[in-house]
Amino acid sequence: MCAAALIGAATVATQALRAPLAPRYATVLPAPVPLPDIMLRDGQGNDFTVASLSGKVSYVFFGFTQCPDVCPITLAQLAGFRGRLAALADSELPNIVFVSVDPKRDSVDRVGAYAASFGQGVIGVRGDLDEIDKLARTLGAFHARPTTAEGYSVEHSAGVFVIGPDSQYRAVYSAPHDADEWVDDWPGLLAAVSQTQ
Amino acid sequence: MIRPLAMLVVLVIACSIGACGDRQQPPFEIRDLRAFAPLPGSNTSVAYLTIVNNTERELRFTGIESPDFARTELHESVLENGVMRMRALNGLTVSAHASVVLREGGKHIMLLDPHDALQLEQTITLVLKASGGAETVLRTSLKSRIAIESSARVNERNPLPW
Repeated sequence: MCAAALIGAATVATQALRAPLAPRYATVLPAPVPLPDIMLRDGQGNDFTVASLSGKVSYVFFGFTQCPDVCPITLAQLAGFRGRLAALADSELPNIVFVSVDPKRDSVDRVGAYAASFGQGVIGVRGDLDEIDKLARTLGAFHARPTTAEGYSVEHSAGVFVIGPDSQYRAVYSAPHDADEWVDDWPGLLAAVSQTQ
Repeated sequence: MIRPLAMLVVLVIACSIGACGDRQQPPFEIRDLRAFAPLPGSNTSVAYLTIVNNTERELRFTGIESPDFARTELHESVLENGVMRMRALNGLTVSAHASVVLREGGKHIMLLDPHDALQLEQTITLVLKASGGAETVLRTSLKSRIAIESSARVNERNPLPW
């Protein structure tokens, strides 16, 4: 009886040690979602396609450079999170991808300068609205530009979308964000988004 | 030095509108004023502050202007069903003996189209307009939006948990 209990406890402990860490804060998709073919440009004017997301985990945030409050706060949080992982090899560090949903005002140069101001590893991306929309629809991200007295305002999802190294949509973090949660989650998220299915 | 100067301007003007006796508190105070320089690629920035109402009546502020920017607007960031929207505010109302806090992710002063290229630590002026026409002049120096503290220092204080 006693021996059986000990064996049972040991089995549970072994399984726990073998079980991959699970992210506590991310919502991991039950199955990865392939991204559509997209043709965007990064801040240096280079093509930015699904292949550009290959090989690294990417944290994708939609916004616009004229956003005074939430976009710079979120990007600074993401950049700070990436900075805290600096002990990792460069090849293991995640990319932070800022996708402008205001292509009318956000030129390639603007998006590039804006994203670069948050530091290394933050990539600014812009494209035509239909290309942005293809990506946004796949991620379930909302974006709109309702008319106002001053012209238009920009509304966008506040979530951070996680793309795995296989360029598939894997997980999402809902707002409000906390960079400490991304740090806590990193090993578990990396394991979850790197699984092949 | 800038912040005490800004506070002095606030107190002088607040007292000049008639609600401040020698030993009384000013009718309102401005606290935690901070403004950020526009990021490269952007001609928009933001300022935050707290208005403390020391009186027994509601105070109403109709808006904020700045000689350093073409437009200055009061907005509120609102998270609705995962979507971030900005709502224009038609002034600020501060209840008796209460505060209104403008802060990151909430109410804020949107600063658009600076007249000149602005540098970090440059002093800007904001003019808070009360209903009835009184104006309060505030000055503060522009800070960086990017975290000043290095990630290495954050890791020293708060080691990686894994």
